[in-house]
Amino acid sequence: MQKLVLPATKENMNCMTNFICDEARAFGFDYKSIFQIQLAAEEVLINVVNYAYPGANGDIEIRISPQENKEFEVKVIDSGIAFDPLAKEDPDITLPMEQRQIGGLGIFLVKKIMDDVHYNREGDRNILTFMKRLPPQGCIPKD
Amino acid sequence: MESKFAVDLKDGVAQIQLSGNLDTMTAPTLQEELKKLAGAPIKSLVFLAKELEYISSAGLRVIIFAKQKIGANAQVYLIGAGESIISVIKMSGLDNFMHIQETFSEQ
Repeated sequence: MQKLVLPATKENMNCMTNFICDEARAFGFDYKSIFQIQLAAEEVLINVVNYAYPGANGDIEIRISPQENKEFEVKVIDSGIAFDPLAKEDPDITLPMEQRQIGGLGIFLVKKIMDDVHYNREGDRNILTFMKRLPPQGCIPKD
Repeated sequence: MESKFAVDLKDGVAQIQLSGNLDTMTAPTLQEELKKLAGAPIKSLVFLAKELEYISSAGLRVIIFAKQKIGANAQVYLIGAGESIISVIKMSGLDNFMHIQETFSEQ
């Protein structure tokens, strides 16, 4: 398992997303998938940076577990206030730009581009897990 | 690539040059640039995205902000964007409210 623990600050955002993207690249994802993993990582991490520790300092822990079944799984863990970002209602994407609300779009995108996203509260910790499967490689023979 | 943003206004057409990453870290810079346009009569908001490599929801919010606060009556264009960028725009449903083109042609 690869692990990174850093203070939950905006200054550490690039460092944390790079850590996840480097692991994804080593896992064998192509450019398009890395783009999506970078997006998911940023949206999940900025949520923690902005909301987990109001008026206080705290850490973010990132865990990446190697999965034998071609699943790339990232856990983002904090000890901040209990908060399930997935519980929020999806934004109405049929609305014209003039009527759009500002929040909620980031996590909505994470749900769309990852193969699985789920939230757990364990003890005093929030655990947000997102997973993407490695697409089949090479030529796929006809049935 | 370095993330750089430049705004140019001519005859009601605001051209916004985007390059590198438009994300949580860089979106405030673009938002500041866009404030230069406030108060000007704008008929087209043209985002030039040929050199844009990455966009997150923070970037989308700046585009929405531009439409809401600067160009309420303006047409929005996204020019030369790559496949991954367009895919995020489509997932957000913003493709229905902007012109996505290879090269700028006023509608």
